[in-house]
Amino acid sequence: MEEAGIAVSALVPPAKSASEKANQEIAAIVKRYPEKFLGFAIHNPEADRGRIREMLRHEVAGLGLKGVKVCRVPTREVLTAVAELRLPLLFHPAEPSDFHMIAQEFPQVPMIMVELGVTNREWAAHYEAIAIAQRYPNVYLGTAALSGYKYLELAAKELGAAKLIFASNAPERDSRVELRRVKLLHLAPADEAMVLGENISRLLASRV
Amino acid sequence: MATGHFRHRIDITRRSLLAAAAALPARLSGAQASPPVIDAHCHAGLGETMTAPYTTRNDVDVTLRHMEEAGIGRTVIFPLINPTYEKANQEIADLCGRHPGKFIGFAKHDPETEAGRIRAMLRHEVESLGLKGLKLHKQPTREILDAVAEFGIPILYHPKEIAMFYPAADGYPQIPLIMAHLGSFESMNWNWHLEAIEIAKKHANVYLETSAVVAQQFLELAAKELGPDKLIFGSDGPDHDSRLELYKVRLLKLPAEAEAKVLGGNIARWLPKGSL
Repeated sequence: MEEAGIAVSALVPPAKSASEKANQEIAAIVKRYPEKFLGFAIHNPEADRGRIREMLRHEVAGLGLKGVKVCRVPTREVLTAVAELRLPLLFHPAEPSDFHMIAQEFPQVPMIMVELGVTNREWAAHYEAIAIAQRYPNVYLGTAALSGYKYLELAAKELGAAKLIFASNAPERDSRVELRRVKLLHLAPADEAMVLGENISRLLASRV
Repeated sequence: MATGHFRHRIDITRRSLLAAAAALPARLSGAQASPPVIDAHCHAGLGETMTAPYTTRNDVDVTLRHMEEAGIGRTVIFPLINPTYEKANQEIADLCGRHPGKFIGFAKHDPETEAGRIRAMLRHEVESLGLKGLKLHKQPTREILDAVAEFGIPILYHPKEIAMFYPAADGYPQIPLIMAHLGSFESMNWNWHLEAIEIAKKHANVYLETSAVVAQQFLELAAKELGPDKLIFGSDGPDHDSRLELYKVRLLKLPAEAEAKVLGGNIARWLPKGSL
């Protein structure tokens, strides 16, 4: 972060963590470095079923977390709570098409599809992700594009800067490299500023 | 986008000026010029089957634009995946001829679909078309390895599994074998990066190429455990962006001499005479 000039990173617990403990840990780290980090809670829609609203209220009001990350299709229970608390949702889908139903059902929830839609490294998923972001006003794409840089260029060209959100997936990926990816788009300064922080800041600011 | 293009051009101008300024002292002192930055892994030309980006088309204009912006002097180009490679290798030779001083052409072959014809084809490609190496996706057969050894060219090989590297590495120590992607395309199997590092440690003739490694920590590990003599910069362009791939090597922050080896010196040693 320091080397690349990244001011704030959103921290997310590792995938498959037990959410209660992992979210507490994230909150503790954020508390230690309040100017460097903001925290997202992680939830497993099945394991946490029936308790999500209550857990999330505590995580937001008590622990100060600012958003939610899920690795499986979020259930109606999850999205109802997320909508109520006006949180942004970070979702790493198995397939980009996992976004269709949830984006239609919860148009008021801002949803960020990470890795430009790719988990299984299939190039075709990038095309699908771009089409989905085009279709739903509430769907944004994270910029850590795995299968070829040209898809990020394509996304910038077809969607514009308002739909892209810089997200590094560090520390497995290097945030310096991921930032460079965005800079290499050679966007106009105002557009680059949107991708590198303004878009996500706006989504975070709508919180209750 | 007009503003973006304008900024882009200023960048190039400033960068070329800086590069020219940096090159000046060496020229004045008459010191031995170091090899240019060489991108050892890039696809070019048309694909026959059109089932995926890597079987359809790679445009050299994109590659040339990235090279200029990043300060890459030469790029090794070879065909996309095709059923057979006679036509595609000819196309590579044509592209090299059309852009003198920019590309180093490698042939590509399929050990199965072209079995029995490979020595004759490769001989033509090396001796008449001026191609300088061989790129492989499938495990090389004895036919291929014998021909490669005879013509004294390097192999860039992207193995389906790391273990497939051993027969060639053990049986043909005279052939420089460059393993693409540090052994695992897009770090899909991160543990393969570790196996690749071990193979490179054990075999004097095995080198690791840096393209499309998304887990930067394994590039760092390879540089630390193997040292700069065993690493070769490549981008897997133009679909993987050589500007970004070069940046990843620069981030290793190697001493200048070590970085120069990774960025061109190592592969330059193994290219046939007249390649640069």
